[in-house]
Amino acid sequence: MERIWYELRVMRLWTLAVPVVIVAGMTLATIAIRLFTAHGDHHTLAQLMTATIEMLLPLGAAVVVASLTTSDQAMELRLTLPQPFALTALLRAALVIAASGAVAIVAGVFLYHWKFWRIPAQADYSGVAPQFLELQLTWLAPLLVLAALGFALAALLRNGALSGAVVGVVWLIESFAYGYFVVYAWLNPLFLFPTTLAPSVSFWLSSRLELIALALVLFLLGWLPLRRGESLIRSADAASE
Amino acid sequence: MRVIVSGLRKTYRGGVHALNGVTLDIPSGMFGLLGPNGAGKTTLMRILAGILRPSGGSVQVGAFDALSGKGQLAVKRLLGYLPQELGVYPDLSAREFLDYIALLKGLDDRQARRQRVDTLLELVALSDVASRKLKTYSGGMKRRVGIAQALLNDPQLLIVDEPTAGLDPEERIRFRNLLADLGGNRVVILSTHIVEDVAQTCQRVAIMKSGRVLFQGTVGQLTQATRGHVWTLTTPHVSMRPQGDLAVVSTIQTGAGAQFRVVGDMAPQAGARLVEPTLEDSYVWFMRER
Ligand SMILES: Nc1ncnc2c1ncn2[C@@H]1O[C@H](COP(=O)(O)OP(=O)(O)O)[C@@H](O)[C@H]1O
Ligand SMILES: [Mg+2]
Repeated sequence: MERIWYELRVMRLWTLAVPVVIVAGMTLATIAIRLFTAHGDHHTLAQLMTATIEMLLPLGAAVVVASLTTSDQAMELRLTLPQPFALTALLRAALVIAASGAVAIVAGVFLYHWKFWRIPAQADYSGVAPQFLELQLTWLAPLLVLAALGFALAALLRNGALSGAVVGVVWLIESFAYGYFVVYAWLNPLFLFPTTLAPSVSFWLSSRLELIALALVLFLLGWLPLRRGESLIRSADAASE
Repeated sequence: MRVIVSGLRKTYRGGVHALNGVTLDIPSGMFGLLGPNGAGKTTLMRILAGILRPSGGSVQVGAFDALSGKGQLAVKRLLGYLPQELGVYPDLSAREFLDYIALLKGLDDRQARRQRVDTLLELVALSDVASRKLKTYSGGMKRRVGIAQALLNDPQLLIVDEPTAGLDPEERIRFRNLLADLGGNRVVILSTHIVEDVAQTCQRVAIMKSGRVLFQGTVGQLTQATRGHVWTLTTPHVSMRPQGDLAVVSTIQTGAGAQFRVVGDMAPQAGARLVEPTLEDSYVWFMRER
């Protein structure tokens, strides 16, 4: 517990506020649209709020993870400690994911209760508890994949800002070219945001699970280069110049 | 405890040969690693600390082969390391920073850890300001937090990289005194480009330049090796500088004339007098050789 508290302090506590700010901001925006524009039909509002937890929370978490993975103010010292830095980076990623996940669950209770959660065709059945549980895959899969992508890219490129930008590009492609992910069978498992963008797809559940598996692979991919202190110290040297 | 480095080479990507076959035998006590910027001191220390992998050679720390995976972990457990540029977490206080590092070093018992941290804060005279955030600390105070951090696990091998660089004279002397007390049973490796640091604290010394070791031995042996090469030379006019393959260590004006302290090979001549070498003279002597 003490360890986690110190990690949060070192990561800066505001990183934990990112998901709260995203959800609060989007909620206010949605209310404003409802009150002040003609586009406030329930369908649009539900899509916006589903997008908040399916698309925006994972993006925010991924950018934060990318920025934390290879940067540490005391990097040189940490590399001389028995505990590998890779473990610390993974712990920090887990904390960021946990923060976003906690916010998603709390927000999700309200969205679900007030029927602002778009229900994918595959999860459209009665039975509140199992349905609510299954729906958590909506945010869990893209959150894990994007965070893992940010982690792996940062570990490989040793540049948090660049990695965050690449994650952003992936996010844009997934958002605006989503038709390809629906139409081409080989892209189906990589479709990050079906709940918001195409809830009628027949591969909603299977692709959620495949994405979670992909996330584990990506974390492993990032773990390996992080074990090499030599590259971490070089990026720390470059940063201090 | 003994550290044995042999034939150590390091070539960075891009082809910089930072170490060209470094061989050192470092027994317990204070060991000074003296050399100009770019000599390869930091590279050597980072290899000893397990941060960098050498391109060749071997490192033995106590009973461990420091380059094997298992040995590296064992060395990290008995290591204290103060980097040349110690980054700290600006929003932690000194006490929190030390507590955090202690936790990372595996001091799991909270009570014992607190006690250790307080003892070390006392040792480096920071108890009074221990609750202030590190971003308010001066360079010298941060350096002292750095040495306290290195000592948390009571290391058998203590490596401090240029700890006095950039400190004002008062802080430098205070830091030296702190270091001088740390020898004893452990190996303390102190790198510096400041001769005075070594003169004040170390029994043994190595001189490095361009990735090579030019000398290693006791401070006494170092000055011994330079005996017969250090002269004072008086000239009737200050513009008459000593000629030949000589390095001028110092110049004192004496009226119209001047007294030069020079290091080098020189035939006896009028006005020249052999003098006892200091450590600084010896350093200059070894540096002027290729
Ligand atoms: N990461 C690096 N990549 C390439 N060259 C480096 C790197 N680090 C140090 N060097 C070079 O290696 C040489 C030795 O550097 P260093 O070990 O830092 O010397 P010192 O600590 O004695 O000043 C220098 O020429 C330096 O420019
Ligand atoms: Mg150096």
